[in-house]
Formats: sequence, C-alpha cells, structure tokens
Amino acid sequence: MKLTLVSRSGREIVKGGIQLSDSATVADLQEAIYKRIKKHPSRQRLTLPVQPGSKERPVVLNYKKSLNDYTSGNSETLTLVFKDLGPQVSYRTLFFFEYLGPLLLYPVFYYLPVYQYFGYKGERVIQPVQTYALYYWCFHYAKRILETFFVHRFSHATSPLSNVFRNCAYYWCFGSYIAYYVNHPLYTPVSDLQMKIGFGFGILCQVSNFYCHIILRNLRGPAGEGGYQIPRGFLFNIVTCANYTTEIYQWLGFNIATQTIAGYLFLAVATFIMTNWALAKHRRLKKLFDGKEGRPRYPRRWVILPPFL
Amino acid sequence: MATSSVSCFEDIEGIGSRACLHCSRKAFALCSNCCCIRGLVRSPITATLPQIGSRLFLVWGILWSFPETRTHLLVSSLLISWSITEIIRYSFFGFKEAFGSAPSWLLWLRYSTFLILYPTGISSEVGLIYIALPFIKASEKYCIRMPNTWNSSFDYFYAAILVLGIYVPGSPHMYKYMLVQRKKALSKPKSE
Repeated sequence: MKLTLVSRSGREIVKGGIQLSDSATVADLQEAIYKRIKKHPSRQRLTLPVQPGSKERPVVLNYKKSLNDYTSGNSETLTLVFKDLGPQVSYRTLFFFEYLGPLLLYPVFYYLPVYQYFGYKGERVIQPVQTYALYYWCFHYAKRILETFFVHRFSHATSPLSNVFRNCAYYWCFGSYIAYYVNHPLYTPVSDLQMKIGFGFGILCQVSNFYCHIILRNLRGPAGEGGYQIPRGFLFNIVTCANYTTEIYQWLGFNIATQTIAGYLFLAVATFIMTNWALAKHRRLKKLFDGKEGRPRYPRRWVILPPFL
Repeated sequence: MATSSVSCFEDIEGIGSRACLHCSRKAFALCSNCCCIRGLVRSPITATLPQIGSRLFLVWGILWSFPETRTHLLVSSLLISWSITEIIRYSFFGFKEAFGSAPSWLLWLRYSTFLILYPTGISSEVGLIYIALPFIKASEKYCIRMPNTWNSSFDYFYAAILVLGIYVPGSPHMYKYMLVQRKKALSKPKSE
C-alpha cells in the first residue's frame, strides 16, 4: 500500500510517500514517518481528508487499527492529513512536576524563616492549625503523585510541552500564595470546632476521591488504550464526575479549616476549571452512549455539583 | 459621548485640571459602557479588555484616588490622546450606523492615528502610574494588612508595579493588533 502524507495546506510531508504492506497498522505507519522526518509518533496526528467546506470533524486515525480499516474499497493508495502536535511530554511527567511544586514549596513557608524577608522580624509562633494544614496539604499532593504513577489510566499518553509551563505556573504560584498566608506569623486561626469540621470533612472527601479514582481505573484496561465506559457505583450513580466533586469538596474542607482569601480563590478557580472538564466529559459520554445500535444509554445524572449542575 | 469628549478637550485649556477631571470621568464612564456594548461585540476581548481596564485604572485608580497627580503634564497628553482616538472612533461607528458606511478619510484616520496616539497614550498611562507610585506607597490607600479574620492582604503599591509589568508584553500586543487591523481595513476595496 502506498501512503501519501500531506499537511493541512496540501504540501507533501514525505516526498514520494511511504510504501507499507497491506496489513500494516497505523502504528507501523507512524514508525515509518518517524524514520523519515524525525517527529516522534506521539506528536503525529493523522486524519482522513475532509471535503472542502465540510463542517464535520476529521476522523483521527487510531494507532492500534490496521490501515485497511481506513481505506474505502481501493486499498492500493491512501492519502492522509498530517499535523505536528509539537513537542510532547507524557502525562505522568506533566503531573509529577505540577504536583511536586506545591509539595515542596509549602513546607518552605512552614519550616524556613522566610517571613523576615517580607519585613516580619522576630519570633514566629506556630499554631496547631498551621501544623495540621501542613500535614493535610502535603498528604494531598503526595497522594496525587502516587495516584499519577500507580492508579490513573490516561486517555491520551501525552500532552503538549507548553502545558508543563502553564500548569506548573498555576500550581506552583497558587501553592506559594496559599502557603504564604496560612503560615504567616500574623495568621488568625478559626475556632477549634470549625477547624475540626473542616479537616474532618476534607479527609473524608479525600478518601472518597481516592475510591473514585480506583473505580475509574477499573473502567480501563492496563494496556494504556484509553477509551470510555459508563462509570458505576458509589457516587458515580448520582454524578458523572464524582472524582471532581470530591476534589472540590476536599478543598472546601481545607478552606473551612484554614480560612484564607487565597485558599478560597484557589477553590473558585479550580472549581471553574473542573466544571469545564466535567461538562465536556458528560457531553462526550452522553454522545457516545446514545442508546442506539446496542450501546447502552447514558443514565440521567448530575454533571458535577448537585444540586446546581 | 463625542461632544463630552470635545468639551473636555476645551476644558483642559480653559478652566483647569479640576473641571477637566470631572467631565473626563463622566466621559470615560460613558465611553466604557459604550465600549462594552459595541466594542466587545465587534472586537476580540483580548483587545478591548486591556483598553477598558487601563482606562478605568488610570481614571479611578490613579487620577481620582491621588489628586497630587492631576496637575502633571502627562494628564494633558493622556486626555488629548484618548479624546482624539474616541472622537474618531465613535464618529466612525456613528456614520456606519446612520448611513451604512463611513467616508474613506474617516476610515483612514481611524486606522492611522493610532500609530502616534497609541505610543503617546500608553506612555502617558505608564508615566502617570510611575509618578503616582510614591503617593501610593505613602498613603497606604486601598491596602489591607495582616492580621485579619480572612487572613489576607493587599498592597496597592505592589499591585501598581504589577500593572506596570503588564504593559511590557501588553503594549506590543495592542499595537500589533492595530497594525493587523489597519492592513485588513485599508487594503479592502472601497465598498466596505
């Protein structure tokens, strides 16, 4: 089979095309392209050409499928559209560096005498709530890192490199911003009861969140093939993105206990981001599981935050 | 809106900085509202939001809050730059709404005066924020200090410095955007 590769503007990417056996897979093609133009398979996006003026989204080739699946009748030649997605990093790498920042930066404000550089000289008295907040925070990000390596099964293997800078800026800046206020020498704690309620509720939500991740993990096979299933069990019976719900409530618990504007601001931004993800996921699952052709129909559920959405 | 800008322009030479500031506040409050309704409908938010933001910040956050800045020369250059830009811009929109199209000389003005007025306007904005800094620091206005029940703080001095920092990538972005718009607008056939 002869494969012709063009860019979205029509320029030929690989001069003379690529010759492969008829039973070759998309992955074989990506390897061959890599040998010719030195762009790693994870940054290659191959799609079937669309009719000019067509509003349909192009069909993206799945790396596991055979190339024959994408030819219609004539299996001698196939023209594919190539897009370079830019340098990629694995999701594991991305998450690891995102979460490492808050894990390491927060204790800096707790243990090291940084506040003297902000003009606060003299002894600093550490209050119990500040110590519990440190443990809670570090437990949270250590949990996230461990989940990244041992629990999560990703839908895509990689993410663009630029996301590393953007995501790390978000986590590291907010982490430092919150750490500054919670560990401040002039920090005013809330009542003991409020602190206990906050941390207690937060721990409960973190454990629930972990259980949600286990349920999601079991929806996918270990080979890294991604794919989508209808989540069932525990809170997933009521809400599509129960993992985001428990994450949001977990931060709420932290903020009830520590009470800083910085913390609540972080909660607001995180809720906004996760709500957008949840809406996209809910939409995707409803579209995929439409009840036709033997597929189950996606049940009626809250998206992320009952009773609001 | 255009008339209040014009009368403001005359006031600068006439009555003095006090009256000028009063009417300019009104003019720019209206201007901002108009911008929101009309500007955002036509232009991308990355171009209109910085403009509205900088206008509001300069008028309320600097000039109204720190009277010591009002007598500076840069206030005149600021108001002249803004006024001429707005008079041309709203005349252009006015013609389009009333007659369906604007005369080609007005189109040319709209997409050419910015070449001078953006640098003068932006320099005036940056200059005024800079000269206001010592007053901001000394007065502690709008600052929130620790300790407080919400464990939060705000320092207007450092926030103003951050705003100055935004001008560094923001000004080339705005200028480049206008250059692109100029190319598109002035190369179109006369029918537009």
